[in-house]
Amino acid sequence: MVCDTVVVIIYEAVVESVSLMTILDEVLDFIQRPGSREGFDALALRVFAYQVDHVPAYRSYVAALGVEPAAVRRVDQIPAVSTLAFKYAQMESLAETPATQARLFLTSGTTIGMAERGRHRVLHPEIYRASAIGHLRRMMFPDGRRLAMIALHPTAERMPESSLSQMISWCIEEFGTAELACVATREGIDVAKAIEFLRGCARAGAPVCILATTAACAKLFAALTESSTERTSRTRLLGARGSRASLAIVLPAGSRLMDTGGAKGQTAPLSAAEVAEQASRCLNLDPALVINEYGMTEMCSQLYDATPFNSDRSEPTAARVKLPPPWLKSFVLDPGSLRPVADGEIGLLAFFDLANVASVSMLLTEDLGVIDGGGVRILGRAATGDARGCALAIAEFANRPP
Amino acid sequence: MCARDRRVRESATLNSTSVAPQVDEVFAAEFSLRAVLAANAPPVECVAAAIVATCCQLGSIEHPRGCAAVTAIAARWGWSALSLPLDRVCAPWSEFDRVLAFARTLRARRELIGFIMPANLPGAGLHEVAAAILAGCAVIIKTAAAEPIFFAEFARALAEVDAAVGARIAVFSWGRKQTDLTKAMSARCDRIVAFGDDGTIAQLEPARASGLGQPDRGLSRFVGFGARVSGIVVTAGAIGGAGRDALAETIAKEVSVFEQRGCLSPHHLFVGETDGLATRDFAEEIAAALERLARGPLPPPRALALEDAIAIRRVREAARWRALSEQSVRLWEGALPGWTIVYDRDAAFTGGPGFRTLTISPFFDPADLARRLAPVTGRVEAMGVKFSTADSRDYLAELREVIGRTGASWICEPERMQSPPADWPHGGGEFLRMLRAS
Repeated sequence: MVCDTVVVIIYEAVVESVSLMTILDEVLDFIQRPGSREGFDALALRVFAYQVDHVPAYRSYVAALGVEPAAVRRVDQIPAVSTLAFKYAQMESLAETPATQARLFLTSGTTIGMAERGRHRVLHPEIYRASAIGHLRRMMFPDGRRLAMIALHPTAERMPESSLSQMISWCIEEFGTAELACVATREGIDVAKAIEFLRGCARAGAPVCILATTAACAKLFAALTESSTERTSRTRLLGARGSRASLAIVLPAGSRLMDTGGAKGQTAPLSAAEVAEQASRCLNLDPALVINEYGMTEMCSQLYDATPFNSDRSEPTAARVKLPPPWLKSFVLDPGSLRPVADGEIGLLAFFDLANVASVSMLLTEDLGVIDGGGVRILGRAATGDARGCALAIAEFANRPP
Repeated sequence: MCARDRRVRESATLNSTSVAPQVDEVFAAEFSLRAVLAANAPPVECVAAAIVATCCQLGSIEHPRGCAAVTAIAARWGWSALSLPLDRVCAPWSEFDRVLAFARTLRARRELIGFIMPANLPGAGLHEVAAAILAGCAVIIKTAAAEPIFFAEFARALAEVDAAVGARIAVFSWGRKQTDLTKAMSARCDRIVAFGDDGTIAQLEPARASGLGQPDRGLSRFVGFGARVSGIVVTAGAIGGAGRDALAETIAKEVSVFEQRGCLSPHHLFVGETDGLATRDFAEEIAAALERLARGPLPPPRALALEDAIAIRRVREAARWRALSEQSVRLWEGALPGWTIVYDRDAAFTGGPGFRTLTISPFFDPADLARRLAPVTGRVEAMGVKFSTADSRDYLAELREVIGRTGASWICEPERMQSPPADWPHGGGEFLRMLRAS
């Protein structure tokens, strides 16, 4: 009883002391000058206390789970909110009037069976920007270069509700040169224009950074492969020797690609290894500079492939792990109990993202993964079916060789 | 018994331990079964008697064979044996007179039919296998790697009961990656009966036209049983009387047995609404019944596969967050792996991930029910229906018409949903029509 009372008093003291600007400043400061893991944990608990107090939907959820906020002493005890919640509830702090710069981002709504789009209002885009840029600098631009930029996804002015668009725009602002192109609109990408821009960079010897969804990369690679095939056929007809190297775009050393989104929007999804292989073949990119990003609308921080370019890790492309920024902690949870699984076991990925300070930080994703050293191996969306029937055997018949 | 006969018989024994055969063993089985087909067929009375005797053994937990089978499957899956009531699977084939009467509706044919069985529950496909054998066919059964036991035991029992009938069945088990075996089987059988989802079956259209045995008088040589769903409709009268508690228990039991892995398990319950709260109250009572079953006679599986647990988690989280902001949704849940009830006032028919997950919605009149059932029209296997003598004849006639429009192949009281009769037109009846065609 005495202990409980002490805990409550400490908790109330913490809550009282956590004024809005203090917690925002603390988080921003942590992102700009990452501290120790202990510092992270202490700040995470303060952020949790703040969110219980100021995000009514989260407070109701924590109460419905029967969790006493004051009794939460470790980050892994903080109740995780399913990303599905962003479809149904207002996940933002009501402690303040939304600033004029507040942004509303919507999920792409591609999840099967979910017509609703998730909504994430980011009250403090400066924290989101600090998080995005901070980790981009470490993972995509550790060499400190500014590069020509091409976006194969609409930038923020073309798709303001897309968090990816916003991130791409910030990336261009921070790391780009005057040479830039956005060849995508809501309707699709102009592959011809992309190829023209990339050929221009190749001719000028200007290293370029390609920012794209994996689906857009697939379209670009397909177009380049198609044009290679056509040209090879034409060259053969003319009796000359075709050379594949001469048909690909030979981008200058230091060029790089950030792709994201995985299987989303693709009928025959490219694997990470295929993206790296095709980027190398079609664009002359060093596979270590082909880097996949993992992020989501509901989260202000991202994870990137660890490669020899940005880390001391050198796993084969297909087995890469993703590295989180120091202000994001990863968990793998048992989907039944929502407790952390043993190291190396597969489960549902969850993250505590300090950069989500003004909404909800502890997020439960719908993706499978496993913790691997300091990184996370993302295994993709769990394959689940809505309907059950006599349906579990036929695939083996369908897949039989012709 | 020739050497090939022995190999076929032995393969059935091996299959209970999931040892995959070699391709030449599948060919040997085909050779042996074609030899059997070429000989005189046993009288239909003998075939019916052998099937009935076999199903009486397998369908009884009191019988050593039935007990051994259900215990082995339950242990393999980590389920309670009581949640696998094989008596329901076998009951339609346990009464000689009925089975014989059904057999006499079939046209005699000497064909070799290959079955690709599902993994979702033991005995799924028994109707088709029994009907094929009753019609005079021989069958090769490829069981799923996850459930190799039921049909291996079926074949063994059939051979013990009547060697001549038992010689008409060969059972193998192999995994989906062993496409050479599936291809060999498909090439050697006159017809293939496969169980799977509709998208996959659509992909198989080319296979219908080529590569499956001999030309066949225009009859389909491939029959696919796609994914189907089932539900329950109860009228306001049915929950208004003395039978309310028993009905809640019945529905909870139907949701619990087989863990909703079969196409006959209910996923959505529609309740005739009167005062705006009756359905929600009834949902709470079903939740309580599910909890009693889970803590008592029908404990849930020891653990769930990751994808199943995630699917249930997804249903729960969506319902939980909707319930926090909408009065029209409520969630009741047992500790996973357990049970899940989602009351959703406005929902149309919703298929669930199984493992005791039930959506419950009211309907306000037959037209409203029709609107809610419309999304699954043509994909409904069974509809359990409970009404009361207090319901008017006109109202029931309207409901009957609405439910009939779903195309359900089996409409019955809720407690009979998962034990359809021998002449059940599973999946719309294509296979049965084929066995009856000249």
